[in-house]
Amino acid sequence: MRKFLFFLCCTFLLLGRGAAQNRIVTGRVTDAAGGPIPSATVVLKGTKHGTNTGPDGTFKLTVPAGQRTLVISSVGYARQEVTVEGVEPITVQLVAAAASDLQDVVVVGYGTQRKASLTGAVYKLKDSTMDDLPIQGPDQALRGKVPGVQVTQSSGTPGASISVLIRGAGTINTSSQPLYVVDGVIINTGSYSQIALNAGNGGQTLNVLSDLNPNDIESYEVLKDAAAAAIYGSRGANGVVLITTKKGSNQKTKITLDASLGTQSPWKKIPTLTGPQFVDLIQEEVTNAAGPGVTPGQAIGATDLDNAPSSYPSTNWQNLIFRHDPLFNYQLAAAGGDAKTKFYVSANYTGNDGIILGSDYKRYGARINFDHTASSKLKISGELGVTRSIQNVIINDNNIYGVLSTAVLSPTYYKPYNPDGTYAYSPDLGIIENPIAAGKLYFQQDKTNSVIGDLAAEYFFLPNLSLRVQGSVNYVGFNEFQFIPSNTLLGATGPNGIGNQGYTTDLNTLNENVLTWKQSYGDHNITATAVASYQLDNVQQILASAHNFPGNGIQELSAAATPVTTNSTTTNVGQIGYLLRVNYDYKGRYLLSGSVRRDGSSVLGQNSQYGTFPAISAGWRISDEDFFKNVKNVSNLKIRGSYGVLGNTNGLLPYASKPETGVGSNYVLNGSTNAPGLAPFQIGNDSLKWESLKQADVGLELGLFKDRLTFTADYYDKETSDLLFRRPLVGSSGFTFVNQNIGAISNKGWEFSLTGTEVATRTFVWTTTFNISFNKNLVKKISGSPFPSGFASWTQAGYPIGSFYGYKAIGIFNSQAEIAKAPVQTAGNSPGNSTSPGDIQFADLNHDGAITSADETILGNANPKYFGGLSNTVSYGGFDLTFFLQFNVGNKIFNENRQFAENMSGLFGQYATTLKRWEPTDTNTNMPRAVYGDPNGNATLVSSRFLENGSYLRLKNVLLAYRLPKSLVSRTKLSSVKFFVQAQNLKTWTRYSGFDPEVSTSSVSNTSPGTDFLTYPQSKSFTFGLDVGF
Amino acid sequence: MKKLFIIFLLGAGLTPGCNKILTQNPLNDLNSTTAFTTGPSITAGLLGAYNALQNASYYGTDFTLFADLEAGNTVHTGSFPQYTQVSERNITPDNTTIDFDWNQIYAGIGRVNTIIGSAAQINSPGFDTAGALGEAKFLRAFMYFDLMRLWGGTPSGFSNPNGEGVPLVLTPTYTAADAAPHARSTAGEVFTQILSDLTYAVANLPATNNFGQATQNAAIALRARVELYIQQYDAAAADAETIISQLSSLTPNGGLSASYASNYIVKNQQPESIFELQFDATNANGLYFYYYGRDEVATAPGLKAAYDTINDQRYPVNYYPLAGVIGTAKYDLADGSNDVTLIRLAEVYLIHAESVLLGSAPNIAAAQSDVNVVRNRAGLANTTALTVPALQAEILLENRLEFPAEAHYWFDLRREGLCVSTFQMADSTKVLWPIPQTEVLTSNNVIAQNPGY
Repeated sequence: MRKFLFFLCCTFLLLGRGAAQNRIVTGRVTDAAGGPIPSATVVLKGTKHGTNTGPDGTFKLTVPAGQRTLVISSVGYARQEVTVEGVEPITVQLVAAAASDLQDVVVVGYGTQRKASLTGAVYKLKDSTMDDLPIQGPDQALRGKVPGVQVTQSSGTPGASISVLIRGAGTINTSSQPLYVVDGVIINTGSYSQIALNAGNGGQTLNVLSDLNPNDIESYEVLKDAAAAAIYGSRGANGVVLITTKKGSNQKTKITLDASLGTQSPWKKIPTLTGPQFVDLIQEEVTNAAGPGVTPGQAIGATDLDNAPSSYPSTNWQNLIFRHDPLFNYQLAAAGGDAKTKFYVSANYTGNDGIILGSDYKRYGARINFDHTASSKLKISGELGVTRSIQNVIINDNNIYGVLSTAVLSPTYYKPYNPDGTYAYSPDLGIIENPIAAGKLYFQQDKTNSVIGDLAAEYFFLPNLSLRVQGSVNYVGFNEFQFIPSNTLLGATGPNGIGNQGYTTDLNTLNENVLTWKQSYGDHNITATAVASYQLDNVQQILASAHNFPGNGIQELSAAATPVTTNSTTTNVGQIGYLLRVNYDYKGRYLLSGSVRRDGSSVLGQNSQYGTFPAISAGWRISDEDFFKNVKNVSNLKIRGSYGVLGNTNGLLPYASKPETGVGSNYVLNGSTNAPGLAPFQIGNDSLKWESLKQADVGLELGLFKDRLTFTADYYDKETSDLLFRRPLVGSSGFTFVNQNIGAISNKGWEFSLTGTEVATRTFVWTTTFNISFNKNLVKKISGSPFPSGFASWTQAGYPIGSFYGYKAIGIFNSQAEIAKAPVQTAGNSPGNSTSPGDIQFADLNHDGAITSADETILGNANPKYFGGLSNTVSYGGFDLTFFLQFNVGNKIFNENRQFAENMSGLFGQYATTLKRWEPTDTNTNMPRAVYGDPNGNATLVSSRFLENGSYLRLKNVLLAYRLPKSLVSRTKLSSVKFFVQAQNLKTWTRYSGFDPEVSTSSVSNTSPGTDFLTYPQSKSFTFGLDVGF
Repeated sequence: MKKLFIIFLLGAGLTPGCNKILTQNPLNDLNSTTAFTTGPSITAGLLGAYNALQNASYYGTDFTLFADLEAGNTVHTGSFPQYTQVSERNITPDNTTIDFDWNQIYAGIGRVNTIIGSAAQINSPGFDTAGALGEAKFLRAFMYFDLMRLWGGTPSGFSNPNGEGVPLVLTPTYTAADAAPHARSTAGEVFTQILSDLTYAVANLPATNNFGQATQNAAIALRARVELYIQQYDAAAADAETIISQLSSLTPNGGLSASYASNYIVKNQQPESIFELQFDATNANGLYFYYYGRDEVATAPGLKAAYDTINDQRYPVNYYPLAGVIGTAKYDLADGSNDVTLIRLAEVYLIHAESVLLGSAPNIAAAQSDVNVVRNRAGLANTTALTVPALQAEILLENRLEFPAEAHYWFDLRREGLCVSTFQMADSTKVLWPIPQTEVLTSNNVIAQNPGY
């Protein structure tokens, strides 16, 4: 109390006001249910004199004689005026503001802010329909919804990584994925799989982010520009996604049960040659390569292919591995509370079986959120989410033991099973697995336990000065078990059964201390926030592999006779951050914000562990100006601008700056004894520092017709410099690279979003949201020479990241005369190769008369020219119809599948498109001739032949919900009943010929996006659901 | 208010362990600058250098296969274009495999240099520091010699001291500054360094060691081989003689194993095996897989034609059908656990034979006798070659028949300057491999390309 009085005195002194004949008014501000509203502003009307309520909603204000009216306001509530007369303490009950205004509170990290007073580019996504969509992880929820955020679900693998790029890829060698913060807890994302590195799941990786239950999420706030993200300093360069989970409120406990069930199936299969067509093709390949009359038996020893094509059976492998499978989601939640204590608890069970044989995903989760006002000075709160997911993973993508991979690449001229019931293999192509065996026999199960929890106490020294201390934990226990039995191709070749088991624990502890001070001096409002943050991330991993099992009945490693690998590793990463942020506004009209964060990280060189990340921003709410009052129909007009510096070390190996000598370089002594060896493997760099991002942003926010139509536009210009690069060293130094800060990459772009309510009557409401983003990426500087990655990707200064590089295919030779006139096609290939009519002509770009590697060029890139989404919701009576379209335009996809499945030069399975191949009698085609060995490089050369337009428009979701009328529901003991049906990926408009245009075989790679190689495609799904409130 | 901020920041600064948070040292690794100061860590560091030899880009696969592939003892049946180039003796500087091979050999040299560079810091009472340094220098000589065999010398051999050398890096690399490119030394300079290291190794290596690790004899035998390559025949003969005189009486076959095949069935067969790279299922090589798994190479019909297929016991070992491929019995274990023989007594006999034949006092009888030791063990009669050229040809043939899949024949042709004539190569500069393109570019041409590329 003394302190409080002292504070009041201070305030008075500061304000320089006399204090004569004053009286002290006390009171309490509550919400409609009587719960306290902390931090509400209480001001004497017409003056600049006021205070804030404490956590219990109480306030004390000295009121000079003659003043009687208080104006009370708080974010999310309608402003209210009360006259002070007689009885004290007074109680003021605020009513919630209209729904649209409620949305106006935005979580900005270390606090909240009114949307109107934001000066940074923050997008809030709060969409209640998402609870009814089959969304597995929070990253999926962002798809197509947030301007400037490009979400690529690179594969349909349940639980797979999804690439989320906020305003383009700003890095090459570290992660370009944003920072995720759940209720203030910085969480770890990405894959912990060690087996994938060893035994290969192709390019696909998993992501623990998919273990966070989207049904528990209230809202997403995406911090895009420097002003918004700079508070996360060294980790903000890729943007920040703040996730807020659902909370209870002061109301009667509400129990809800949401259940949905559905089915999913592949939305597309690709026609392949039938067995007879395929044998016919091979015979033609051989004839074209070795001369008329030569049979496959004579030419390549494939005597089984010498018979008449029509005598062969036909197998459609895709039909055997794709399936219709169920998906389900059950969520039971209770929320409620009283004036002092609020809670939200939920339990969730969700899963799907995957559209490809052998894959499935199940997740169990629970969440407990509470907050409690212990006294007028102390608030405590906590959140705890726990999940366990169990996932059966298939080998796929770039792997000859993968399920879809082999289904595409297996020849079709034999039956899947031998007469004795065993799996059949191509007698001519024995190296690839039988697709059904790949799905059924290979076993990999990943189990993830994950905990995200925090406890926080907030102490109010003064009503407007509080210290919040939060301790939080993000724990991941990841257990993977792979068994490749001896009756598979991979397990049989030598090892006689392969077992791999990995275990990872990641304990990420975080302590953050936030000091917040809010003060108004009349029309001058100041909020200052200071943060001290300490984080320690400990990862421990064990991986063991063994061969030689006694049959396939026991799969545990202890059964194996030959141990192969035992690895354990421990890494610790420590980070420290200090932040000071000041937001200032004058009358809410002129807005100014500045922040500076100083971060230290153990990952960096000892001379450069600390970095400073400042940002400033300003906004002007023009519509609040007096001169604007007369402008009709414009309810909001704001311009804002920001500039700041951010850092990125995401994905840098924990000890990248140190000169390291590593273990594991072992040697065998005396023929049998393994002896431990040490070997230097990394050069140190004491000056290794952050990647540094400088970003400028200008934005315009416009609201028309009482904000019935809102429009936001942003332009940004960001440049990342000091990119962490492996600078190449001469190999004769004993090392091939050193980690160093070299290189720069820039992203510039526009973002637009439009939200409107076209119709709003009592029974009929139609709303639309639309967003579109344009980003231009440019690699400005890299270390060393341009470098390839993936299958056709290329990184070169002066071009965008994700460029494709190769030969230009310009047509097909129809005659020997055309070949004679053209540059020599096979100069770059081995001698003996030759070109014949029906072969592809490649462009001789340097006009030296021959096609050599000097004729390779940038062919295009994987970045869309623009992308976005369009969502419409129509409500009529109890019905809600929502349809959501997602689009991506102008990007190229390198369809690596076709480099195999249309090569017509060997024995791999071929697409039906090869029926249109060039033949002397049928030259009007763009499909070259069939020829064994491909002497011209028609398919073996990476060329524009396989580069396709990846643009698409996709009807991502259609949701029809029906709410039973209250009159009907009230007769039961239920409080609400809703039915819904939903379809996902119902229709896709694209010219892309592969399985799915939303694809990236390299998953979250920065440099090789947009290549499709036997990637698990997305599914089309239908679900039916029921949401019941009790 | 200010006070509160100050208290807050002070409090933050005093949070226990906060500075410790930023001092995280690797738990799986050591700091290279201080890693090699104790006996056990030096021992482990040496094993790490042997591990470099085991790598797939070195004896674990590429290096072992290329000497036969380039010399036509094997044919390329697989799909790697990098291997195609080697089999066609037309390697381009952008061949990624040779880049890996170059880098891997130098990585091994780097490992050894780190140990040798730590010598002054070694403080480990009771530890045989000189022996360890001897072993390190043996390995460095061994690796520089391999670099020379691929990238050095001239198309006609290795005896010209002004021939092409390689960058001579002899100190540890801890920082990027240490990694600055060294220009290539001459062949003479590199061989001088090799011999200097070997002389130290001979003086300090123990007579016996674990199988798989270098011994004094291994150093002497390697020195004899180097001397043969640079045509210091008398020295080579003397070194070879030192070994032969020690071992020849230990078996009825002049020290050789009774059966040629048994060298590849029994590991470290004494006394014939002098230096053998050890593998097991955990520390496996890729040789079986390259022959029989991915069918990348197969034994050439030409090698078969060179054998007396009826009598020569070496024929069934070196022309060995398995899993539908003609390969070699030397790498017949699917788990990749066959050892790779690096120096055998049979080679020392052939070094001796060639050295006494071509040395300052040619001794045809001694050369015949050496060749016969090798021939007789293989089940063949004594040589009928009588003249120096005939015997020289006979020795070359025995090298071919005796050491397939042991990284030999291409180098034998190279040191005798026979590559161009044997394979009718249009361009003699292709005898030396090109320095990897990335090496030349990264060094800004400080490391010069070989002539002709």
